Amino acid sequence: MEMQGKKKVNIAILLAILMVLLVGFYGLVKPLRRVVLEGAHEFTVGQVVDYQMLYSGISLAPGVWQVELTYETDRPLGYHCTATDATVRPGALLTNGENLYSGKGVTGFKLWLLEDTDALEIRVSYDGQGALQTRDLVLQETRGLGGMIFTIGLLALVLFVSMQWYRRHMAVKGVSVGTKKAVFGVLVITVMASVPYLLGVSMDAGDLVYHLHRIEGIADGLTDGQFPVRIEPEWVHGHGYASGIFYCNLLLYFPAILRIAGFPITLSYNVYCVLVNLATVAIAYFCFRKIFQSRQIGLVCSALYTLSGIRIFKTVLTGAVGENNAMMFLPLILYGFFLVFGTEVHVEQRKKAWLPLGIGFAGVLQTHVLTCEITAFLTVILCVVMVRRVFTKECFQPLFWGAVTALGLSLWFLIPFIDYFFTQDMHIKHVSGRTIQMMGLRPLQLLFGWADQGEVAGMGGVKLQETTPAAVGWFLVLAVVIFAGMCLFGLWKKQSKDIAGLGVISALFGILMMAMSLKAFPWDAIQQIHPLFASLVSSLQFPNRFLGWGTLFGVTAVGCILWYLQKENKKYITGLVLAAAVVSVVTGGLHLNDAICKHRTSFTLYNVEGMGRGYISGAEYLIEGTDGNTLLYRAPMTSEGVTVESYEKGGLQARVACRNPESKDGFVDLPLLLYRGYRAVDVQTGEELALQYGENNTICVNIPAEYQGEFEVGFVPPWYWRVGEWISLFSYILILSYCFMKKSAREIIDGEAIETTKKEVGLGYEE
Amino acid sequence: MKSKYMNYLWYLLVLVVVLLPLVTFQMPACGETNTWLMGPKAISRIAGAGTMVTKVFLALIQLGTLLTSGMLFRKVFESKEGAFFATLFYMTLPYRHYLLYDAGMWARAMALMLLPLFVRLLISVYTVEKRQIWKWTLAAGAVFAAVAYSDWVIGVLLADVVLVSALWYRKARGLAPLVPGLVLYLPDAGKLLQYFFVGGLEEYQLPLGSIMGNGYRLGRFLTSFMYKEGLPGIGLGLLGALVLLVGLAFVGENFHWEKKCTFPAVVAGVMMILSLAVFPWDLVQRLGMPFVRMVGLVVSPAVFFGFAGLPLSMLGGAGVEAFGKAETDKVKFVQILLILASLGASIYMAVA
Repeated sequence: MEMQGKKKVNIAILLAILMVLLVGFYGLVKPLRRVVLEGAHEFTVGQVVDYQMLYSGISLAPGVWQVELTYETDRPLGYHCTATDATVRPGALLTNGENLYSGKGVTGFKLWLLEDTDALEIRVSYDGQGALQTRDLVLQETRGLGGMIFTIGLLALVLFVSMQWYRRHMAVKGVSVGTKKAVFGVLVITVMASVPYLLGVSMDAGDLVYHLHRIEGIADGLTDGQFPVRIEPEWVHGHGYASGIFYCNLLLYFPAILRIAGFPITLSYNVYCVLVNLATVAIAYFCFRKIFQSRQIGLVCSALYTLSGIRIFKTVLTGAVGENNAMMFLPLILYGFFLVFGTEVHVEQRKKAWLPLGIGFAGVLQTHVLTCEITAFLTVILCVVMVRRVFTKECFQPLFWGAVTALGLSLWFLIPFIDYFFTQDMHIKHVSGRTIQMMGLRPLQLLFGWADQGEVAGMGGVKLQETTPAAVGWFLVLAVVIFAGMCLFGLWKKQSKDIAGLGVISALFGILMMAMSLKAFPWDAIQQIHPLFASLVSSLQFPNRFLGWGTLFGVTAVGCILWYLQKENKKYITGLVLAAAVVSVVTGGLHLNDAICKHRTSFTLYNVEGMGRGYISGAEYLIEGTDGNTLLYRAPMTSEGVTVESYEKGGLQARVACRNPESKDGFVDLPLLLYRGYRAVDVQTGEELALQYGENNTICVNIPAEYQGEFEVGFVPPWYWRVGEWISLFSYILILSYCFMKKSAREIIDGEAIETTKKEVGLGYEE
Repeated sequence: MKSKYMNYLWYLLVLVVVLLPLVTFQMPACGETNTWLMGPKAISRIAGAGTMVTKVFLALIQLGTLLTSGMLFRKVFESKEGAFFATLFYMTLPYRHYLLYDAGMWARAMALMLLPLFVRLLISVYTVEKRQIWKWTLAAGAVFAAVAYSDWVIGVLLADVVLVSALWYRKARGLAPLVPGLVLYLPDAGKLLQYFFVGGLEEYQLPLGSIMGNGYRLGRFLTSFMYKEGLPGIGLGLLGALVLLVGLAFVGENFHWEKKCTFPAVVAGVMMILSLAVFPWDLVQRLGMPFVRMVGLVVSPAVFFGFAGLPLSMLGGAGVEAFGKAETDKVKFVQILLILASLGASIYMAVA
């Protein structure tokens, strides 16, 4: 009877999901509507207007609409156009509008309309300066609403099928109570870490807008037919920006796909951040559980790591997407090295160490190069310390294959990166003069919990609570101290050498990382030693970047202490440590999250035009000498005598028909930055036209004397970039196949064999 | 003999607690009566000083809440731990803290003080023998009226929940308290209905606008220490207890879902949905002017989350009770943590 009831419920849910998919599919294939309104308005110079209503009483059905208002202005930037409707409910009309540019001539921003209306208005604000005339308005329906509904239906279907599979798996094979507890624990930690992303807004964060531009750039690149996206085509007002070459954007493809599906920016980003939190918790849990052979320690460590003050600071307050993503992979590297250098680790386990090492290093490299620098630094020190074991066969093999795996997985990013780094004079190669010591922390800042969302890096004249909440936290520092004390008192003598060794390395490296984050650390003096050091140190920008690893080492020290207490069956002290861990998390990460939710200013971005297309932070990836401020929308410029007859630009392509009746060569200067890889080809003859740098490092196509014809300019990646991409793709497929085959083989192995393996490991196994 | 006098004392207590808010002839300015002023007025005649009046009055509300919630949860839970923790969670609800110390909405705080008393009496209406039902019905009706006089929104929600509970448990007797309750509330109800359907009261400049913008987002429910103005969260201790309950249900080991928890869970869930910023209250207002006035007078959907505080506290207590049955060796450790979390967060909110 109960089974029948459950079956009916499942059928009902499945039908509902299929309905959603059908509705979404219909939205993707149906004919799109278009509303055209003729009109004209000229703004009076000197008369400031706060959102003049140009069109009103517009009837629209629910959907995602593109607003195309034609206009003429002589100012490159200065006015804003948006849509309003006082009759719909709050949250039923979502848009940020768009700025108006002299070089563009038509808006293209989207609005999300979630209920019928007869009163939509299009408004423009005018500051009284310059000429501005508006013309016709076109409202073009897009497939955004259908895309969103279809995507939601698809995700619901995947979730439903996964849950059904899980239920059947549970019924057939059984899932232990410990596993269920761990899964629940992971989900709870994820939810608590994601509170700022469950508010429907984006918190004001220094780097956030830059990373949102990266996501938009990927979406633009994919819709432009570029894969993988190397140069974000619409960035820098359509000139293109090579951020994708220097700042790997692999993990940002997911939110970019959500954007293509039609979801607004803030929602796409928030969903992505929640998934990153889930992955961080899951990976950290997996690694610590494997190291300490305890689910409880795995959960405690993953909570301490994910809810650490420094991670929330980087994730939410700074918007350091790359650094946050890199922190996801650090536990894998720790686990990999533990397997390699552990003397009590089973041979079969050590042979597999290449996998977490390879994925860990590839992950860090492909998310945040600066964290990779720090990781490389630590790896070198570790290998020096363990030099005797590094060159033994049993250790060298997994290290070697780990490096090969990391390289294989990363080649698609590394080859273009190295290519451009050595062949292009990028601005990033000229920023070695930046000093970082003054951005370091005071020792007390490392300990502090109860942080607010303050931003001051130093402490002079401000309360501790208002300073940068980039803290490791008192609990982790105390753990390092306690571990050191345990070593001094010889408590580790009769314990596992691997865990003891791990604790010692973690304590020492943890202290080193914390020290390097301090203002007292002589960064300025180090920069003076050699230009290479100056460049490396300058690129770090903030010493608090070392606290990612510092926190991980502190958490590992906690894990070692808990492992010892469990081994010695010290229940009361274990309870005390766990209570302290809970207090640490509550007064640290949770408190900071609450403070952010209460005090932090926030914004909600729906369409990319709401943040403009020009922000490039420090302009690191411009060609040196380019003035980013003058890279605005514009038409092609020509030399004397050359006439442009037609011009089309889309993404990284431009198609120009022109004539040069002169007897000398001329040029056409296009609004595209000349990165290596662009080619100009005559459409008729296929002949390549020479390119040179324009006045602001833009593409200047050489037009031969007496030329009349049409040419096309486009970005063509070099063949060796494609080779790297194929090698990486092959590597990813190999890794996935290996993991899948290993899992299947494990399920077939007899239970006794698994128990035997566990006993051989010698560390015990907690169910 | 002793129990007979205890019964009379009990009736007297209920009468005194209930009569105070009943005596009013003031038009509600925002749906809350000025009755609560009578208490501080009475205290000021004894104490004299202004701030002392406030402190004593707030202390009385806290004491009253402690008594009423204690009475309710002692009846609901088998174990003392369940009752204790449910009472603790209700006492340390951030929404109550917000009403008392941030917003100064003492009338609503009084309504939330009387809410557990009404539920306690309603349980008796459902469970006692038929010949005894009348006195519980009258008492519950009086308390209902007192709640409604204190805060009409809480009163309306309570009436709706009583209606649904009668359907849920399929016992018409559950509706009985509404009869004397509505009769006693008639004077105020008449004035409110007149305002909703006829209008007037322009001099009070009563709010008529949209309330959706003041609603909750999912993350706001999960705050522990601090909250954005008007949107307090579940609170640290209660959050921990609810995680326990959900976790036990998820794992399924040594766990049995108590049927008595189902209705409160549904009520809490529905109330939380009503408090969301995405709940289309504007569509309700489009039904006509009465609804414009009615919804506008609610001002903020946060009141629905405030109402959910009672069933959520009960679920929290159930979580602790269930954990005690399932994991005997960690019980004390978790209980101490929950007490520290509840009290600590409450103290932090008070002093920070």
